[in-house]
Amino acid sequence: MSGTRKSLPVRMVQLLMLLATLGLSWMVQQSSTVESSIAAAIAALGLLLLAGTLFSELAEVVGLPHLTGYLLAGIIVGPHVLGIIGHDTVERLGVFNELALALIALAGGAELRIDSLRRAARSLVWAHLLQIVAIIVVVGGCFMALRGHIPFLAGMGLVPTLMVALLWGVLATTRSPSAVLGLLAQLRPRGPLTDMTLAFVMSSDVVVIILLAIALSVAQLGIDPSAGFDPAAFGEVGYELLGSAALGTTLGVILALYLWASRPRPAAAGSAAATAAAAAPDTGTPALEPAVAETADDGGRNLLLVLLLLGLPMSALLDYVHLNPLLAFMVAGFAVQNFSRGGERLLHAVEKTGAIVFVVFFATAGAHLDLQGFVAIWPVAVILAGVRLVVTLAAARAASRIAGDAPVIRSWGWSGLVSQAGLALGVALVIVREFPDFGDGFRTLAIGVVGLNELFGPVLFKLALDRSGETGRAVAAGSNPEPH
Amino acid sequence: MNPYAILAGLLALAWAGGALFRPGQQRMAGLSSGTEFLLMGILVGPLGLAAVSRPTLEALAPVTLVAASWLALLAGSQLGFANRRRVPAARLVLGLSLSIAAFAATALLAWWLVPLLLPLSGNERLLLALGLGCAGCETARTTAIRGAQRLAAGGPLADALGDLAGSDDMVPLAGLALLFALSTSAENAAAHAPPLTALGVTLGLGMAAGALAGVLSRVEQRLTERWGILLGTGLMAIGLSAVLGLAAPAALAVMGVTLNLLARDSAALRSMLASTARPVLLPVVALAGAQLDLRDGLVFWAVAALVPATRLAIKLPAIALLRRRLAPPVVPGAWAGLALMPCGPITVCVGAVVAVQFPGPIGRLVLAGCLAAIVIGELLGPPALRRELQRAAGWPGSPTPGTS
Repeated sequence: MSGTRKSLPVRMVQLLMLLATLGLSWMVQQSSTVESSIAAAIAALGLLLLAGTLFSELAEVVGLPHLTGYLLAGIIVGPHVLGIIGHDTVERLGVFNELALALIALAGGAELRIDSLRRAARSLVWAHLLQIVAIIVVVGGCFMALRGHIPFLAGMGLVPTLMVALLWGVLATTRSPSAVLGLLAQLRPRGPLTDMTLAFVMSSDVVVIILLAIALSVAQLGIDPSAGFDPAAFGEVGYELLGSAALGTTLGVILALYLWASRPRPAAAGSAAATAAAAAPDTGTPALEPAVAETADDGGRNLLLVLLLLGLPMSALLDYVHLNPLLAFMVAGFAVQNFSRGGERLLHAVEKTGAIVFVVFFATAGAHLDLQGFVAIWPVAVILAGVRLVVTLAAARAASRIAGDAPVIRSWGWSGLVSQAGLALGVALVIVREFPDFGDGFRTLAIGVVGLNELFGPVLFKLALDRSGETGRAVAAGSNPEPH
Repeated sequence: MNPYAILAGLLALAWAGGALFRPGQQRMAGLSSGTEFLLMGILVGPLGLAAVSRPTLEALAPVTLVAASWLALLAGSQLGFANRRRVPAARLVLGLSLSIAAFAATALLAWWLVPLLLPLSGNERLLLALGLGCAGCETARTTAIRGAQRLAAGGPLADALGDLAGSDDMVPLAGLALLFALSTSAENAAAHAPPLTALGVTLGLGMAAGALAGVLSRVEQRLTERWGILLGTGLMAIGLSAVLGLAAPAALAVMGVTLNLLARDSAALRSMLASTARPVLLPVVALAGAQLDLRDGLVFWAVAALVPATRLAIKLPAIALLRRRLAPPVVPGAWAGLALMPCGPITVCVGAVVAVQFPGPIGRLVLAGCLAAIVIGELLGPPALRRELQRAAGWPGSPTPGTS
């Protein structure tokens, strides 16, 4: 996707079309008497998709990753800047986020291969260990040091403040699988840095779930000693982890069965190709009519449809039984990739959704970012985000040295770990629910810091992939080419 | 549970189940109009097992609107094309005339008949007549074209029927735009605007969206980004039309026509859009089936009889016009008009959208008319098509040289 240079007139056309899109939407929004409706949500989804695509194109001009363009599109058309999309409408778009997250996690799981995990096991263990310890200690310590400047900590005792710092430390350990996968979809990199980053961010989901359960139990004791230690919290963690893995495996088996049943057969494929060729003998373009197009389909598009249709009910089911959708879909993708022959087909089908899924996910995330809230806490947010960045870098380098990683990982291994997104905000929401006394303030600060990491993390990772020479290697090697 | 999840789950089961039972070999299996999904919708809907309740259907209204409008976009993008060929101007005019005749006849009959059975206000009577006119005037291009493909048929008659079927999609969509423009009940901007203004805005919005997508697709060759542009523009146009209380399918049809005119490689774009036809059609058909409501009693059955009967009355004699233009031995038989009876995506689109946007007798009866036309068309059309193609010696597999 990247690497396609467009001329200045093309960029000007894109800019004009972007302005026209925004102008048209703004005019209709102004003339509408309806505050918020499903129709407005449909229009908003279309606007985010179109504006996100155009912003990402324009972001290419200055070397920014597409994800940053999507986020900027969401921020600009969202409630805090142009206000074309209102708060309620942004909330209504949550259902598409669930679907996008499901596909992202499925792709993430399918990218993980057992043999590469085995090779990277030692590095992964060291990296997780050092990252967790360093971030919780140093970022938590920084949080403690800044407590005089954090409004919601005013009047809180030392031990409770320490517990809040512990929770902040756990929040700081979260990464963004979606940001990493979004960049991989754009840049098609291949190499040790890509493999290591992917393995780390995907496995960090499991680590964070366990850490959060421990931290919540400890924090409960510290903040409200009368509550006592509740071992049930660990039971819930076990339920969430095992249940998600079990449902994910089941989904993986269903997908593997479908992939096996709908596998392309040589005779059918030949016949389909002949039909397609007969359909458009002169133009060389694919056939126009649906029937012919269906005949030429090898099941890839149908597989995509099955994924879309399965994604939503599975997300709803997982939510209903309080399991982790990210983990479950990741396990499903992992199972298909490593225990069936359909892994590559699955990956290719999910990649077809590529930019569209990421545009929806990140543009909506951008629209969610509360700029007004950020203005109030920006100095603290910038310091906390900066300290997290430095600690992540230092811990990654130390872990790479201990594990004896390749030089490229030693130099750039930290870069993919900076981004934070939905998982971090999910953790913040859990903390809000558990500690309503200070939860809202905690969430506002979290949104500010996560917003910064969300904006700048992908830029750093793209820089690293470009500098390390891994960008575009997958395309050069002939795998997962950009379909035309 | 989330209604979107219920819909997706039902469709996934129906679709994946079907695919598993016909792995790879018979990809074109299934009825061209998707009537089996219509019946599935009735079965799981409130009239059947009630697995999908009326509140769930209301929650799924956006899905209906988006999918139906997308079908209209497809129809707009294929205007003037049938089975990869440009439709000759004479046949385009003939197809349009047939469709307008069916529209006018059905609307006039409904204007006269329905008030005898059901008390309606002046505006309701007009809207219902327009809606039923829309229900009776489309011919499913998929039936004529896909039917010929399934039979490996070719030749002048197959081409002629395909051309006629591919020429009339715009009439019901224009009728739908008029219906929305004349509505005074909606709580939106369009309700306060004069009908001509509302029609103009529908047209303008569709043209603006088509121009955006067309220009952007000229400078973007990457497939995923092109999908982003098409989906984004389409969804935006649907949403903005709905916000303004306009007929989103009509705006999308105009968008499709404009896109086709402005895009550099319109054939490739049409191909991209066409690939979405069946996946989009199935939810609309299933939801339309589930929305079926018998509470209007006699008038329901009257409307269900009126629409297909009027279609038949128009199409049967009209085929005589075709007989004059085709030389022996491919002259269509006296009953060849039956081959033009099937209705398809646009009729489903009209029924589903009117049912969603006009909850009440208008929505229920227009849907009834649409579904009756689809079911009767599916019963009468394919056998007649097979018989005619066989009779005209265009089947099996012996296309007349120089015709296709």
